Amino acid sequence: MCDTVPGVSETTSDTFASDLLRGHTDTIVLATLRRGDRYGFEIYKTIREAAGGDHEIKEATLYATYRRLEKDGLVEAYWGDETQGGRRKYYRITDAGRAVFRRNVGAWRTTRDIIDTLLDTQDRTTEHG
Amino acid sequence: MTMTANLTIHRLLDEAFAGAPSTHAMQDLKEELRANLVARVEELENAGVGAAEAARRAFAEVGDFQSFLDEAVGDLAGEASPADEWARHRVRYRPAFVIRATVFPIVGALALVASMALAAVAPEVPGRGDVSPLLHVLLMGVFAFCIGFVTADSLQQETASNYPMSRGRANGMGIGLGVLLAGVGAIALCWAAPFPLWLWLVLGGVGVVVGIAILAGLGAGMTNRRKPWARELEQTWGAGDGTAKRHTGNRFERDPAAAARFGIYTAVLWILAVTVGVLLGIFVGWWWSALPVVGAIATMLLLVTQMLFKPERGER
Repeated sequence: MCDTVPGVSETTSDTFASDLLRGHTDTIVLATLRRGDRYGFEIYKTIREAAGGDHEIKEATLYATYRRLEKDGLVEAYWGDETQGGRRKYYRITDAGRAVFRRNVGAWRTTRDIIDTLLDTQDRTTEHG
Repeated sequence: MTMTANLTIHRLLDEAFAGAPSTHAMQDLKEELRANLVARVEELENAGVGAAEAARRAFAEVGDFQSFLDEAVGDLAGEASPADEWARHRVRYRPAFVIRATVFPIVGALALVASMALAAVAPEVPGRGDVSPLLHVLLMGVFAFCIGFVTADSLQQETASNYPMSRGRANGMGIGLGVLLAGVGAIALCWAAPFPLWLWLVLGGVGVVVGIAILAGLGAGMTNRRKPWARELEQTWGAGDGTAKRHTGNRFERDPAAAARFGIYTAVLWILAVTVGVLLGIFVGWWWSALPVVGAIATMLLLVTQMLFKPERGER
């Protein structure tokens, strides 16, 4: 993935990776919440640290995700009881959220295998051709 | 976080939400954003970034804020449905509290029954191998503690219909009830060992009186001041102690002394006006007698303005 392809800039490959990441925002957020209730900035920080700083999902995208997940009943929100620095809105994964997460992970594994197979096939074709 | 960063976040958020409708959902969103921005600003400040710059950078990092906000406004347009309102005000169950509220009363009830049963079978003079006569006293103490604890614990919980009480007051209520029950328990055990009847009754009487005194004192001192709606009103109408407070309603309805003063001022004013008018009519000419009436009306209007709409003394 890090190999430089002629005619394709670093930025283009970064954008491709970021797009891939963004395509799975819902599942990624559900994954971070499986380890415990978190508020917005904690979720953002977890994703940022996991991505190693190279790629990120913008907070604005995450806010839209929380709202969508909440509407679909996959997470539920509640206010923390902080006395200083303003109340934090915590998110908690629901049973429905866990089920959707497991289904999405299954779908991801299948897709990843298919893509791996396809890419390998393509590499072999190029090598032999 | 520094005050500068805090103010900058407030300003930037106010600007961003300037065009948004002022609904509960939008206020929640703003509050959520603010808490997250505060956390990011603290992180940046710890890394050595200046306060104002940290706030600006944190805000910029959120991303395409405006399009997200537009989307949210569309999303939250139908927010006032009963289901949404229910979700907004719902209080989550706390499993640990439910367990405590179930276990402690059961333990308390068992301790009470065991205490009474042991007291009934305890011999007047305990022999060797008998259960210690202090055991039923101890069990009565356990009963009083359990009920007192559950009371204090419950009062501190927020439920769908109850605001949590402050910790000190809730604990006070729990202690008051515990002492009262211990007193009643001592009176109930008055026929049993190890104390003579009079000592049981004295201990019980003291417990009951002290318990009632604590509960009555706390009950009499209860106010609304800690409830969220009372605080909200306080924030809306006053900026805290020692600064200007604005009140709703008519001052004369709220402050009978001011109304009485206004009545006396008016009576004095009109007595003077009529007297001067009559004197002017007799000695100068009847046309001039209307002049004090005009002056009195003007003065009365100024008096009303002064007394009704000026900040009250001591509140400036």
